[in-house]
This record gives sequence, C-alpha cells and structure tokens, in this order.
Amino acid sequence: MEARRSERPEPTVAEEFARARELSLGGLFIALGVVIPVAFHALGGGKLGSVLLPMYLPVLACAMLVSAPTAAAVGLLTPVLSSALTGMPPIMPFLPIMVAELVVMATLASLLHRRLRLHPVLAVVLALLSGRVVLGLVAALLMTALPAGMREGLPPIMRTPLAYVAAATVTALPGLALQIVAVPAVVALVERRRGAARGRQV
Amino acid sequence: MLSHDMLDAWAHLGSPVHQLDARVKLVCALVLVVAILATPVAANVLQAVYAAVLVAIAAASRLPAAWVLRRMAILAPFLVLGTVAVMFLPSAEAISLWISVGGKCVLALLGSVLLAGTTTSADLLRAAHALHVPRTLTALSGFALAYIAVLAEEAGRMITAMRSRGGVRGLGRRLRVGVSMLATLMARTAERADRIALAMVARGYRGTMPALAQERVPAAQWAVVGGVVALTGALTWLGVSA
Repeated sequence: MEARRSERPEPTVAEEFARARELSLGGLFIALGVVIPVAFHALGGGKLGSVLLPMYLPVLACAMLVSAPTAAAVGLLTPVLSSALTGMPPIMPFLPIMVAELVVMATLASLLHRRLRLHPVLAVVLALLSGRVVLGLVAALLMTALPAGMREGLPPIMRTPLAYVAAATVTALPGLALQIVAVPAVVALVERRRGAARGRQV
Repeated sequence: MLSHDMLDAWAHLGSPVHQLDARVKLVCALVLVVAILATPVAANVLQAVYAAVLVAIAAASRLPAAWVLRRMAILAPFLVLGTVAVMFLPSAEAISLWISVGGKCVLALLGSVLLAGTTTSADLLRAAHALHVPRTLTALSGFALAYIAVLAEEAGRMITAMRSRGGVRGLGRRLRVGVSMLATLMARTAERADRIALAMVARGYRGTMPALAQERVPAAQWAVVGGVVALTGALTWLGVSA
C-alpha cells in the first residue's frame, strides 16, 4: 500500500490549483444559489421563484465551469442549503424533486460542455430537457413509493406526472428561456475574463 | 436577511441544548424531521405531540422567540396562500389535509431552525464529516456558508448602485438590466473563486481540507438519541397502526 502510494506522482502546482479552484468555484456558486433566489423573492414575491427558476442559473453556470462530480455536488447542496437556511424550497415535496432535477441537470451540462465540447446553448437546452424528464420521474416515484398517508399531502396535480410536468413547464417558460439566454452568456463572460487575466499574467 | 450575523448568532449560549454534541443534535434533528414528514395525513394529534416536543426543546434552548419566529416567517406567504385556498373549499377533509401539510412544513422548518440556532456552522460541518458525509460535500458547504453573506452584500451593493443611477422603466429594459447584473455578479464570483484558489495553494492546500480530531461523544448524550428514536418510533407506529 505504502509502495503503491509512493509510486503515484506528486500533483503539480497547476493540478492542485485546478482542484482548489473546483472547490472554491463550487462553494461560491452554491452561495449564489442561496442568495439569488432570496433577491428574486424579495423583488417579486414567492411566485417569481417558480416562474424564473433563479436557483437553476448559478447551478447550471457552475456546472459548465467544473467537472461532473463537483457539478453533481453543487446540484445536490444548493437546494439543501437553501432549504435549511431560508426555508425555500419547502422540504416536502419540492426539495427531493429539486435535488434530483439539479443533480441530473448539472452533471449532464458539465459532461456535455466540458467532456463532449458541445456549444453552451445546446448543452443548456439538453440539460433543461433532462431536468423536465427527471421532474416527471420523481413525481411518479413519489406517488408510487411514498406511504398512502404521505402521498395524500402532495399537490393533487402530481397524481398525473405528465400533467404535472406540463403545468410546471408552462409556468416556468420564462425561466427556461432565461436559462438558455443567461447561462451561456455568463460562461462566455467568465471564460473571456479568465483569458484576459491569463494574458495580463503572461 | 443573509447577513454575517445570520449564522451562529445565538449558537454560543450555554443552554442544555447548546451543550449537546453537534453529532447528537444532527442525528436527532434528522430523525425528528423524517418522522414528522412520515406522519399520516389524518394524524393531526401526532403532529401536536411533535409540536409540543419541539416547543419544549425551543424553550430549553433559550433562543429568543422573536429570532425563531423571524426565521419561520419565510413560510408565511405559503401558509397564507394555502389558508385562503382552503377557505374556498370549506370541506372538513380539505381543512384536515391543509392542517396536516402546513403543520408538517412548519414543524420540519422549526426542527432545522432549532438545530441551526443551537449549533455553530463549523461544528455542524465537523459533525457531518464525523458521520461520514463525503469530504467534498462538507468542504463545498463550508465555502458556501462562509461566502453567503459576502455575496449577499455584493448583490445588495449592485442593486443600490442600479437604483442610484435612476430607476429602470419598462419590463424589457428591466429584464435586460437584471440579466446583465446577474451575469456580472456571477463573473465576479468566478474571479473571486480563482483568487481564493490561488490563496489556498499558496498556503499549502494539497487536495484535502485539514480536519481537526474530534472527541468521543459521551454515552449519556447517545441516550438522548436513543430517547428521540424511541419516541419517534412509537409515534410513527401509533400513526401507522391507527
């Protein structure tokens, strides 16, 4: 074991910096995922959250800049921390739905943009589509897996997962459009600024 | 709302609840929240028992009632909306359903508010690490908790600057301004993350965050966990068998 460990080459400073950056970027964008929805709710009341999906913005933008495992962790922690600190989203039924949705969307966005080098707009569109599929699957899972007593507490529309997905998608159309416009713009802006900073260092 | 004193504001009091080990409190809170959410819809008496338990814990913790209520106020719009909706469907079944759903949300939030109010965020993260939550998750949460207030202040300054330059009229213009503000905030955050990463590497970061060794939890404190598990188990069994 010790011998195998010593065979492993020491990570270079660049590799350590990349790992540290993944961690700091992930942590800070989770913080943004808590701050931005609070600002949206303060400006437009509770309804604005389900229409503009403000928590998706930092999660998807971060996913395009970090590796898939870190993106999945960001997708998992953002709604959990937000729920614990601000009460949004409520623990039942929206927290498990958002966790599943954001983990899948963030992982897919990261894989599509960073591994397969897909254009950010296409990666965001595919990630959002996968999110809608996960929304329906989790709604169906909750309706079948939960005990009868808990199931009765869910919104009645969740009894038909397709209708639930359709209603949620129609409500969130402005938010979905916002993600498609804003996330690639943010990624481009961050990459451009990084390029400029690297140029200054050289 | 998301200011520096939001976290850990009352976590340093000397009440019996504050003195419990963070690992014990974390496990008890998780067990209580899961049990509350698993309460059958019609079993509002069981919810009243859970409410009494949580109120007793809140009283023992000596957290200011105003602070607890302020943290709970986030649920107010949801509760008002639900209550108004139930008033238009005045059947006994709808009212019972609403009491159950609303009650579960309130009690689950109260449980997490009490946990956050009586434990420092650093202790909570250490407890999560000790309970074998992956190190990446605890490290990311640590970063997020440390920077939430900083980023909230930065967002507040950007909004103040926008208002000082004069109000923006028209939905289209407001949306454009809002999106560009969000993009700038996220780009600045990414730059801040780069600077933090440089500082971490300069201070000797080698892939993992250092963790302090933790003392063993006294056996008497595990008895508290046993008590909570026994109570919630008995109540859940009562609810299911009824």
